[in-house]
Amino acid sequence: MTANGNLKFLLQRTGLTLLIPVLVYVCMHIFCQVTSGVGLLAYSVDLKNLARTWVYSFAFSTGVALNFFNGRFDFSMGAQVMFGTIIGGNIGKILSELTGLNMGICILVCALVTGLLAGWLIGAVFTKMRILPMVYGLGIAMILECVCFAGFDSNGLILFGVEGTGILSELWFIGLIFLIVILVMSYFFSFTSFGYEWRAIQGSQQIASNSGINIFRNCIICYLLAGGLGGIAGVFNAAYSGTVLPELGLSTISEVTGNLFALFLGTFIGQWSNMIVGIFCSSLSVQLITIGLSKSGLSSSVQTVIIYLIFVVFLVFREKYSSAHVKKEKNARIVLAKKKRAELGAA
Amino acid sequence: MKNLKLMKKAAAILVSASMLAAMTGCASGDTDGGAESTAAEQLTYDEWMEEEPAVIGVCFSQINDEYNGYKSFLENYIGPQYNLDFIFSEQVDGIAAEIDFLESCSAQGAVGFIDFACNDMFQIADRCDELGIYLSVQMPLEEDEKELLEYDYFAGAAYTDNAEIGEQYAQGLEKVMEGSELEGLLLTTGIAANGNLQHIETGLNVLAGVAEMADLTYTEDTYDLVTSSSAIQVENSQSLPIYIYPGSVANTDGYLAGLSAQLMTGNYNVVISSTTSYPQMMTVIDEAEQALGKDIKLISVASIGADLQTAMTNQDSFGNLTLEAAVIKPGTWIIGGLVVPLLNALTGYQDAYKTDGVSAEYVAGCFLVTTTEDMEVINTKDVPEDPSSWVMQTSNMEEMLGMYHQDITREEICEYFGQDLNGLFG
Repeated sequence: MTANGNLKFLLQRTGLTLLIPVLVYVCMHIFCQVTSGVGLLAYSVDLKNLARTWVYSFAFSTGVALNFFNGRFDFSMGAQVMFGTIIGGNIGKILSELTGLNMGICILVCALVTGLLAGWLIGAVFTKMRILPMVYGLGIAMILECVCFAGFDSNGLILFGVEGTGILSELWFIGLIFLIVILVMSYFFSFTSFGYEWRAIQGSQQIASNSGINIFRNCIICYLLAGGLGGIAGVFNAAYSGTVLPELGLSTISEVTGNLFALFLGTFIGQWSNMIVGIFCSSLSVQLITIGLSKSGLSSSVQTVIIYLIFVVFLVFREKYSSAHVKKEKNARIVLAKKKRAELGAA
Repeated sequence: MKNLKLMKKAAAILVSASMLAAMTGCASGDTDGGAESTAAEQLTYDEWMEEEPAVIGVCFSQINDEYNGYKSFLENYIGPQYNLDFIFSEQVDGIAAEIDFLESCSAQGAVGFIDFACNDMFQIADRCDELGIYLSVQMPLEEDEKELLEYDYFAGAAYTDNAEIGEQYAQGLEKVMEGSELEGLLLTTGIAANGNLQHIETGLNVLAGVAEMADLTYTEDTYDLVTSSSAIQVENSQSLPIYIYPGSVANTDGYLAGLSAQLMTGNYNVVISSTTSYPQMMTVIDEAEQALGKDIKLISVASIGADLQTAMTNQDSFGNLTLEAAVIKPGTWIIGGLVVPLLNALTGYQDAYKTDGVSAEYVAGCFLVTTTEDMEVINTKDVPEDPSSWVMQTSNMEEMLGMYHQDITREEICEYFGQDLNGLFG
């Protein structure tokens, strides 16, 4: 391919990757202007609100994707986020008080480390137990919810009014975290044997295993990374809402189902770049829709109906798109075969 | 290999069992006892204490720090004092799980049931009547539910007076706005649209308070405004910006973004929260204050604990308290009120909980806190580590029990229970 061809290819892919978030932004901006008389991101605070929910949704969806596309629907992801945030966050607060280091950074680092440890342990136990991932996820979710509830006097993690946590709401800092997560995860997926093996397992776990890939090692790494991403996600959610309270009764599962839209949309957008960038764009799109609807003042049930209606329409579109794509490729193969046969006949 | 398979089976059974336990709200706590305490004769305190401990089931709809405090109050303070063993539920979602828990309690010999969940009071009351278990509920009874009071085993209902909560909000608004002008009000109505009485009363009282304060009238019925499920601007004669914002952080996606967007219009300088979600709102309010350069006052209902401590100690960008006024429910006063009718029923003092076969509703007041000093006093109450801090002391309980006052009547207990509680805080 020539340099011009490369550039055209790159621009085309970039354009397609950004198409959906840009379209969503334009639509929701017009919607907000009509319903509430102000733009979608009219105030500086809107940007902060968007940034924190975006980084949460991005990290959460990426964490779910790690296991989801290898056949493990991990219902415990929401509980892992809560665990990393409450346990890690409170440890971070203590660490900051003892060392004098920045509170926000201590909380983020400790939540990340706690999430990684929890993820590693959950993955390691899973590979030994090998029970149905969904059932396992439910059991783990209950255990983690109870641990979070029992810890720190059931007060969860309170960030409002805590000095030094302002950094978690700074746009530059959130941007930096985005950059680090995208680079690290892209590196893992594109330039390490883990990424290669992950894709192989995604194709067929049995074939991957028969060809010498250690599927258990890969599984543990998936859980480990998902736990770490959960820790990061939870801290930004806590920074937004000021406090994270422990939940019981498997209520954390709703976080998993609530982020499925971003996950599916992310894999669709990812066909023009990679899954990480895809989820980055999809989580932005979903958050723009959420903010737009919340500005309109519609009742929560109507908002939920609209979001899930869009989700269903998207799923139908994706199905049709895939079918059309397969049909197009099939037709191209038939044309090529006919042409080849004609050439051979002529010869 | 065989061991591994066994291990897997065992783990699967363990996980399934734990799931079942959680989903059905299985009991935990003390299970011994099984007293047959439906006493026909009136017992003195000493006679009652010689009996086998009576078992009481306690059904929670949610488990949080506040409920943990109640659990500690019942288990460690009330239980030993009045010969009661408690069985506590996990978080119970829905009527099916509640009935499962009730039957589980019955199987463990329960003779009393305290219901915080109240998913369907008729079903629970019917089942209690069948099982011979005395029931007390922490929920106001609506008109069509009053017939429950005539059920044989319905001992009573104890709760905070919703109308008074609403009045305290109105007073709080008046107090907070002393010396400053009300530019606009954002009222979060929680689940008033779903019929929550407390949230409805709060909304109605606040709107009435604002009407008086700003000398305005509304063009629409205030009940319709407060119970709206969509956010609405309230039209009024003075064109004062009043925004009704239903929903809550827990059940509405983008709730905080919507709140933030409204605050950023700059039209409002007071936010009134009908729910205890104020810790989640404080960040967006503070950010809006900083962005607009304008003080926004927050008034909310609250429970005693770390959140209240933070909210009424920290100052906002303008040097005011982050939470400027809090309406506080009387904590264990209500919980004690739920135990009183059960104990009176179990010890045979019919007149102390029923008059002409009709049980009572025990209605308590609440407190308004507007300063850090008041909050500090309040925060020393209902601390699980300090038995002397319980709002409901055994000395108060004794004033309402037939075991100590043989001739006490239902009406006298209601009067004692409904007293002005500010005095208790010294």
